[in-house]
Amino acid sequence: MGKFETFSTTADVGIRISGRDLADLFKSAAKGLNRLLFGAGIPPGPATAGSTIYNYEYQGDSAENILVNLLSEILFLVQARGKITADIRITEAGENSINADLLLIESAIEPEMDIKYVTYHNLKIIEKKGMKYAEIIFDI
Amino acid sequence: MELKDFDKISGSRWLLPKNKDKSMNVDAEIFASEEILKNAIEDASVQQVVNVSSLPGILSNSLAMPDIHYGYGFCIGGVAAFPAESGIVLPGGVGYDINCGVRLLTTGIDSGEMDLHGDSLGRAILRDIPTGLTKKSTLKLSKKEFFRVLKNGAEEIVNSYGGDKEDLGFIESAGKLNFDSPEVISERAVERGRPQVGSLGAGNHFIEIQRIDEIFDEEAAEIFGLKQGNISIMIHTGSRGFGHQIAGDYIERIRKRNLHKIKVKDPQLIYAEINSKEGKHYLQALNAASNFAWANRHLLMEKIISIFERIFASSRKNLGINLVYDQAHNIAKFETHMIKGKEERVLVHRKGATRAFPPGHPDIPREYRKIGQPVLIPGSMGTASYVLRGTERAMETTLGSSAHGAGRKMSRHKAIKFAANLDVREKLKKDNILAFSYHNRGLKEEIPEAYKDIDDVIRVTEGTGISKKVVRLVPLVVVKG
Repeated sequence: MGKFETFSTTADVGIRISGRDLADLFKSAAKGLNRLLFGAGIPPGPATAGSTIYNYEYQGDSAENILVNLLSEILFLVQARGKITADIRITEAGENSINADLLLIESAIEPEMDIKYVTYHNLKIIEKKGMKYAEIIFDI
Repeated sequence: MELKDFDKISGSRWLLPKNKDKSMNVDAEIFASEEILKNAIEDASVQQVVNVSSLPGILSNSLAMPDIHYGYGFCIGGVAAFPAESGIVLPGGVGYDINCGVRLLTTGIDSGEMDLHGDSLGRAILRDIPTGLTKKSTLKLSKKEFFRVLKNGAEEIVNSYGGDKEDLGFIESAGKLNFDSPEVISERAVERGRPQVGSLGAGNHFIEIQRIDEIFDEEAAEIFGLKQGNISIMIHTGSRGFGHQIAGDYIERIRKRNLHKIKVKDPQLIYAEINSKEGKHYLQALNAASNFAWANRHLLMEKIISIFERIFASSRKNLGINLVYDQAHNIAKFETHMIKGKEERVLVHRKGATRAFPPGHPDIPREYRKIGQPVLIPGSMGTASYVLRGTERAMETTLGSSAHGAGRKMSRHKAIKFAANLDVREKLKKDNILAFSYHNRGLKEEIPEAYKDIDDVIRVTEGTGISKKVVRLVPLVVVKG
């Protein structure tokens, strides 16, 4: 089971994530981003009244590229469409592609933080003792 | 990198010669006190200045202003120039908040009036101007109207929504850069940006009513219309989600295009040749986002003027409200500079750095040519801001650039922890500052203690001669997202 923790640098914020495989890692990242955006203030996953499923598919050039784009998508859905990704079910995750169903809920909750974008800064997915780890910085 | 690696050129000017690191193409030059430099070495922002110095074709030294701190790609306070024809452009040399900048208005209103009207003004600004992350502008633009804003910048607000044409002359680049390629803008950028023209946003963005507290340069203050004891109004915001999306889109596009062609020390330093398709498209999109930001600040200004007119039951003219200047501190622009004794047309990247052109420069308002352009340096919430003026020294040493603000010294988590049991509004009130925000968290993140001392930054800025102090402004009313 993947984990995440949030941290902050002098000017910005980030998440440290882990997962037993890429799917688990990406899921941890989505949860970590939600924690930064909403604290513990969103209904925990699945099945909320008024929720919709949004299929997200992306072909990338690396697992890092996929991670940045998945998080950018979640951020876009919150900031432009007011949709919170309450849960994520990843059906396929590899070094070059992802297919996932995002459970979206509409919410009037205002994000606690103005995250401008997901950066590639020092982003490298590493593997240790059968687990994958990464650290992602967000520009705020 | 250590302090001993640097040559001290003068009191607050430090040079790291290019032979200190084999990747460097030019010297790195930092305008900082010894303490600021030590901090910059420690937080790795000096390494970022070195990384920039290793970029291909860099013409100037890789420069950092006195408010240097850690960023992505470029450090904050980073300035660099590349040849206009054969050089490169980097989204990471501008940042995600394209044309984040500051606008300053002066008034003929005595600051004593704030005892009576400060609270009403703060409440009205918070109520009438969308602040925070999700509040949309009251301006409902069609897609066609939105693209007119992207094309015409601040001028579009004056033409379509009212205002004074003369104000446009007091905006950097007259509030409009050339943009005529709508196809370079993604649908997502449009979706994010269209409802946000005329909104403040969150984070360190603010609207502040200030007292013109101290005059250091009588002649310049008079020319800028800044009279001691009167109030000024400062607006700090940028291109909102539109600019963030443009930056993200192009970092991704340029990254994909150049993935196997170029190696950079930091992926956020990914670049395109100015004359490549990606470079041209990014520059067009950058201009569109810059125009968005100027239009945004212009619309906010018009709304604030309306609020003042309503509360004082008087006209803008009678209240003596004038636009002093509006300038970008996250931008890349084509300019002409003398570099190593040769006049060069270059693309100057300023990330968290302010343009500081000197007296006589043709790109500054005619009214200011005798003294140089205003350089607007805001402090943190609850601390002073400064107006300085551009100098020849800046032209000679920093590509006509100066500092842009105080810079954080405490992370947001630390600030919240620090202010956990603090009523920030009450604390500010004791210092005669009224703070307005829908969010306590935002106020706590922005407590004055979380920022470096602006006076240190100003001292170094003036000490190196890259700008000269004109006035000091102290906050009376602060509105934050």
